[in-house]
Amino acid sequence: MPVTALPVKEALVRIEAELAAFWSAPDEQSGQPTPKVRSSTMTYAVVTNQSDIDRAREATESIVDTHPGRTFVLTVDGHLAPWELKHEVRMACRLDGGAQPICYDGLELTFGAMACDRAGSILDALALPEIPVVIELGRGAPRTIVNSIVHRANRLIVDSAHTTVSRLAEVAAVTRCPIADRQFVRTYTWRELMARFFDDALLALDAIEQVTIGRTTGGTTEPAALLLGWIASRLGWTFDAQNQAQDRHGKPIRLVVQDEVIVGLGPGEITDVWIETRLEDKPLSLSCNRRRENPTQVCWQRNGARSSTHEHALGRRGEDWVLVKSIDGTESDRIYREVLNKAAEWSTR
Amino acid sequence: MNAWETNPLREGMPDERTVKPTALIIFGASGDLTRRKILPAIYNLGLSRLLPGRFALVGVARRAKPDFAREMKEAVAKFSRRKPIDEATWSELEKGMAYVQGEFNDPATYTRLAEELARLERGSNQSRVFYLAVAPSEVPSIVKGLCAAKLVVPPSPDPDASYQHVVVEKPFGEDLASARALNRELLACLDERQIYRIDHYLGKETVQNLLVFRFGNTIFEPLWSRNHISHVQITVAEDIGVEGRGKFYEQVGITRDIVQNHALQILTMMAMEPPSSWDANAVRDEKVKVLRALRPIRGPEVLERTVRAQYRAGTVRGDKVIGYREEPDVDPKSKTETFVAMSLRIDDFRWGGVPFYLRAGKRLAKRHAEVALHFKPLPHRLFRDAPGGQDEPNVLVVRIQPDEGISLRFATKVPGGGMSMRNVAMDFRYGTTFGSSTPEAYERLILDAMRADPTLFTRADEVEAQWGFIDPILEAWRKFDAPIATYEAGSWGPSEADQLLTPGDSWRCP
Repeated sequence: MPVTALPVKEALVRIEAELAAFWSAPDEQSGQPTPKVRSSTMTYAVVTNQSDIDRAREATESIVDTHPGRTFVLTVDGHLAPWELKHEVRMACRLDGGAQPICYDGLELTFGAMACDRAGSILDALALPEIPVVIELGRGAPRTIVNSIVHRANRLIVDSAHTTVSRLAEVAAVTRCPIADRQFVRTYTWRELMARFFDDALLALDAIEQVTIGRTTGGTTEPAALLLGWIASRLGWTFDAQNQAQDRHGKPIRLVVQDEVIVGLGPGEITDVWIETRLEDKPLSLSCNRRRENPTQVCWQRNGARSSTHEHALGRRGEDWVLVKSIDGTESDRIYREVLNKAAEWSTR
Repeated sequence: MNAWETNPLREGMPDERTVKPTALIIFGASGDLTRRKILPAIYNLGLSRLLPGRFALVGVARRAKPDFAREMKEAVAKFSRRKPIDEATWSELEKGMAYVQGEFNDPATYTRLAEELARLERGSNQSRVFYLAVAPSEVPSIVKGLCAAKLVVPPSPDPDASYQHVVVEKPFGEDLASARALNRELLACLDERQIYRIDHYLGKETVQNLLVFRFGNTIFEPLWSRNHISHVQITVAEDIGVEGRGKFYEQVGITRDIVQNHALQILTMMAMEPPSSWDANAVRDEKVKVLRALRPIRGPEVLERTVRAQYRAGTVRGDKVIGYREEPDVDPKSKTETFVAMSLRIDDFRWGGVPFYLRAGKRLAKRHAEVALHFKPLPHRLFRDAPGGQDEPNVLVVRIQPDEGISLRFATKVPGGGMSMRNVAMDFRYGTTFGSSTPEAYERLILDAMRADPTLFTRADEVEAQWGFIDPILEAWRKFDAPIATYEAGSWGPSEADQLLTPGDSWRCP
């Protein structure tokens, strides 16, 4: 379909006409006209910056076969006339085992600067009825578009690897929908391995003296914030400063974030976690360290009052998987806002 | 609530991640089930990071296996749902792996097993799952050996204490008497809470979803009764034959192999009342009530309400196949059934008067398992003269395998002038909606055994109630020398099965 820039109202009419033409025509792939079936489990919209639009397209493409019936990529372009909306409508059908054609459509909408605040009403008009709207805030998501559509989300997907936790806390404050953070999904294994330290040593949770987080430098945001926010929210800590917290009994805990260098590991990645605590009046040192020679592996170790060592794979399986987990994995919904608020609290200390 | 559940750092994590350090001991470790199902399931649990720290895996069998770990790795590489094999996951699993060679009735086998476990567990809490992937006749001697060696001890009331669970594979007996005898022998050594009778159908997502579909939604349950449903069809169809196991199949037949367990499990979950909670005993109590409400089929009535049959030569999925009696190790005059159809009734307030038609067979047109609820016809046919307005009732189909999902058939108006109608289907497919590769039933069930959750396992009284229903049918077939019909391989069964249905109804061809 051609890419067209029109005033918003005219663009909407044109989009609706293109969609109607597609859906009212039968699919001919099998050699005979067959009615199209929509895989309608959600409307999925990514808000992103122009410079990151390819990544947003990839994200929508990666899940169209299984998740959304309609996708949106929403962005802003300062070169457009301020009142215009440029649109591109893409549709596709696939034959599911040679039976019924399962079809979806995707809309790429680029707003002129003045048209951005109408994104919400465009989404209202075009979102599929009766199914949830999942909105993802991509890298550099334009504020005006985000503010205009965030109220429409039934599930919000964010990524604290590229958006600061302070900004995410602001967004979270204006919507009550569940929020999933891709970075929270990526760091799941770290959290799970840290929880595992204490499964049979619960009393050690109340005796933590120091937490040290190692990470590679150069990340857009501070990767340690989310882990510290998570521990603090679960254990009732408050932050006095970035290097000091108090536990729920007022006992001080030293916090250290340190730079590490691991060849082959990208910027802003967690490399190590060390926790110093006590159990049964004996010191207990806990560590989870990426293997320097193979950073996809970690060595999980306890020394002191408990003693054991294990090797684990970090178990991350690519960004498509992270996105699907962010959409479908709802277990952390009930704690994520607390984590985010604590992470934002730490960041501003 | 145990310590694992009170770790505040685990809040917001999937609850299946709360397995205590456990050892899994597989008896029959050299067998096909271990290679094809159990080890791939364990590996996938490891890959999903669902195995506990310090997980130990010990194989026990008669054959010498000097390179047990390597053989298991090859099996995983071949049969795992996720490929290629992840070396890190495998190497972590391999660290806790051991093999014990020995006879199951030799006390020395259990002494060596205890030594291996002591070495691998290194003083951890000694929670153990003993998986008996062996012939039913070997189960009692293994259980006695385990108890004599104190590898299994009576369960403690303390929820934090270590546990020992024994997973017993089907078939659980070959009739009511043998099932009772086996239960007696097991219960002489074990507490019922330690026995996990596995039926892998219960680990399938769609079978579990049947309960969520019914009791997690408001709109279906009010329709789920004699007031709206005219009849129910349960189909468990396989396209394979006896796969070289003619000798085994001659002793078993499809009624023992499929109906007594899988098909009756589906029936009970479809027909049960809502349990008071999602608690193992509350759920299983309701299932047992359905089995007890099944109207017995006895004596000459068996000939009217059941049909048994064998497949003849035919074509399945484009392949020419031989008939059952031509299969190796099958008696040319065999009367073992490879197909059975039954017309059942459940005598309770919800289902009184509703026929439940159940069929299971080998070498049918395709592999397919489903429950189809056929709704009652309209009380007044408003559109009887409209083109396409024939009286086809609504049908709700729960597909269990493959292509797991749910579809609802209903009539719609064809767009345009006039009043034409057509049936359409609203379709939910697990694969289309959730995309990712669904865990195998064995993964779910092994994890449940390690988490001490017996909800999806069969209780002693449930097994006995299943056999209590099946036994008189088998006996009447024998006593009255019931005719055995034939059907062409690749069809949907013999025409005799049509006689079981109420006039006007027909078997579905899914």
